[in-house]
Amino acid sequence: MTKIDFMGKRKYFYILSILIMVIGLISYFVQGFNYDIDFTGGTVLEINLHKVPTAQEISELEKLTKQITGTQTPIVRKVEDGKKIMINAHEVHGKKKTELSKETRDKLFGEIAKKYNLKKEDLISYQNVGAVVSSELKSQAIWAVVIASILMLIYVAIRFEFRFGTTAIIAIIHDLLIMLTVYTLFRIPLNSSFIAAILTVLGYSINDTIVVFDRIRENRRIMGKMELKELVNLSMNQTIGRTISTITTVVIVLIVLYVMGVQSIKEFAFPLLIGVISGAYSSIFIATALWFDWELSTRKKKLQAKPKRA
Amino acid sequence: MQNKSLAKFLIGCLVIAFAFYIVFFGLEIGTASIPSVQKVIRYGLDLKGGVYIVYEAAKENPTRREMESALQLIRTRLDMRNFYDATATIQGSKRIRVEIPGVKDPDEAIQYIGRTALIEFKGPSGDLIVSGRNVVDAYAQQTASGYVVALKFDKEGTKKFAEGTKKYLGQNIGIYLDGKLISNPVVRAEIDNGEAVIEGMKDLEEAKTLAQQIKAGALPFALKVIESKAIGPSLGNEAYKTTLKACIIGLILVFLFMIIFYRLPGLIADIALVAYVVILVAIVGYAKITLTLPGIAGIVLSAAMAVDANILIFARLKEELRNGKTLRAAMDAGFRRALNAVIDSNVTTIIAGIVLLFLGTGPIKGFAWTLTIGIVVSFFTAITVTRFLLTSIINTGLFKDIRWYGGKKTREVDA
Repeated sequence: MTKIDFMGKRKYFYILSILIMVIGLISYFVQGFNYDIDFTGGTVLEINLHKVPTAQEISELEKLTKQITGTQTPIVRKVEDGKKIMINAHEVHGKKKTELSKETRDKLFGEIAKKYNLKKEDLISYQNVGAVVSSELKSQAIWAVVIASILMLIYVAIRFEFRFGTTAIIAIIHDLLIMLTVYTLFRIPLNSSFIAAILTVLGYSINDTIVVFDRIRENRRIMGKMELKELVNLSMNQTIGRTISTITTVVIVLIVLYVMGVQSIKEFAFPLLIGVISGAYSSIFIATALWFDWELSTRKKKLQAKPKRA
Repeated sequence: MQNKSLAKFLIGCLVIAFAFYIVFFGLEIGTASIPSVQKVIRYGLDLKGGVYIVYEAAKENPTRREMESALQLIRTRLDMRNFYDATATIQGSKRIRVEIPGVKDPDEAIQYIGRTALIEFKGPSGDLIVSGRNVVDAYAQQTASGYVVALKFDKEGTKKFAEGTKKYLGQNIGIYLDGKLISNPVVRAEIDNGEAVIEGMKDLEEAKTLAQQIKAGALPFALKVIESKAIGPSLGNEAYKTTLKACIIGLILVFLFMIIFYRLPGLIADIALVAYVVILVAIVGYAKITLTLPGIAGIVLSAAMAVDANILIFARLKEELRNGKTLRAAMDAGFRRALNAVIDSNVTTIIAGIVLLFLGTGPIKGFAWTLTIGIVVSFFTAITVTRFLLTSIINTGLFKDIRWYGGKKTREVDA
């Protein structure tokens, strides 16, 4: 069995986590999120160009889209093998952004088709989303995370104790922020599968946390007199093998999905990959470490209170 | 005891192999047959290509009955276009979601399906008597003479219908939806109070359908398209193929990982994982749960949960063996002690799954379904199936060397 002093190094990991989140925050203020059509309303077209466009061509396509549709900042990006592109655009009617009308869509595709000599079926897919749906999706995402977190907190508090529950939820929020950092930093489009990715990671993260907490709970029962730091380190060392094994299997699957999958699967697999790793990390260096600090401070208070009474 | 255990183990494996064969290849004995899952599985649009459209009633708080009429209208139109694979469902209180796989011209379909219905009552010579606008209500009823559809007209309609029934007494008055004849009742009496009855319905279902069709013609709201998506069939097909391939490769790698790190128990876990895949695919296929791309991801992720449960158990098993326990005792302790962690972690993931099930729509719902069902199934296979197979194989007494269980040095342990 390994004998790593996890708790002794916890300060470094607090700093690391905060550092990543600061990077995320900066990225958020600099470039924001890449809201997909699911969140903004509008139309997304997927077109097969049969050749990889250069950066120059991409910006020309963006200019063309802006000209025809009136979208302030249309997004054109390469997908899959790079020979296909996705265009996000909308029409502006007063203050409202709406999806493209059939005429506008046909005109836009027509221009591109002329330029790249494309056939009708090279317009692989298109999707229209109204503004109503997108605002609903936003509240749906927030509610899903809030409700799931509260239910998990209640469950862990009942099965373990309130302190375990609280620190587990803090770890979850940590993972959520790490994932948001990934989304803004790598400009991954925020769409409806984003909600699924977030919730899956939350489920996983709490799973890892529970395994560690479960071991602490058990060791506390059988080794009552052991010092707290030793006890926590022992529990970590006992579970680290399992944590690494599990993460390895999940990471294997996600990497294969990422490498082989189509665009929508790629955009799902990548944040999941980061989130799952963050979940394993946070179960040790956030959830357990915070619980340890919390427990330690109450014990110290108790010790300080004792001599006064005597 | 030893032979019996071996038999138990082999029978267990055979059952799983047989189930695998039935689910993936189907079975035919005499006249009875079970279709293979590939034939019955319902693929989402992202795997098959097609169009989906979400309509919203352009009216505040439409009643349930109005929404059902609108739904019936859409279904009738889908049938008239021979879109038999299409599904239409009411979503929330004022939306209808329509999915049409394999459609070529999505724009045309969108236009046609959401158009305001045109119901017309026409005389034998095709002259218009009264239109659906004048119908106040239409509903199915059971009377002494069988199932009927009762109609109520407004003032203008009452007058026109009275004239029509007087003129065509004893002849047929056709009821047309978008120009297509949907019912052709005979006029038995002159009706001047605006309340007519169409008799001769086969059953309640038929009466209801006709009533809803007629009511759709008087739908007091238009249907607005608020979301639509068209996916080319080639994209859907490609997505399905590559995702399936990725899943199979991912699973094989996990299989290898388990065998390399956990040896014999790892192999047992792999067999249990096959059982998991068979059960889950069978549920998704035969229960007609629509399989979407995120749905496949849900299956793969819950498979990883199943593997995690086994890793927890086997890590414990290794520990207990190291502490000098016998195989049986180590295994019992491994399962017992890991159970708490397995239950707690599964419950929390199910919480996430169920929240998604209630809040998610469309493809996200597909993900939530497979994830939630997958975790329940994985709990069964990772605990029950693994335990049964592992107990049997240990009791055969053939695998006593600790290296079979991940130990580094050769050492015999008692069963």
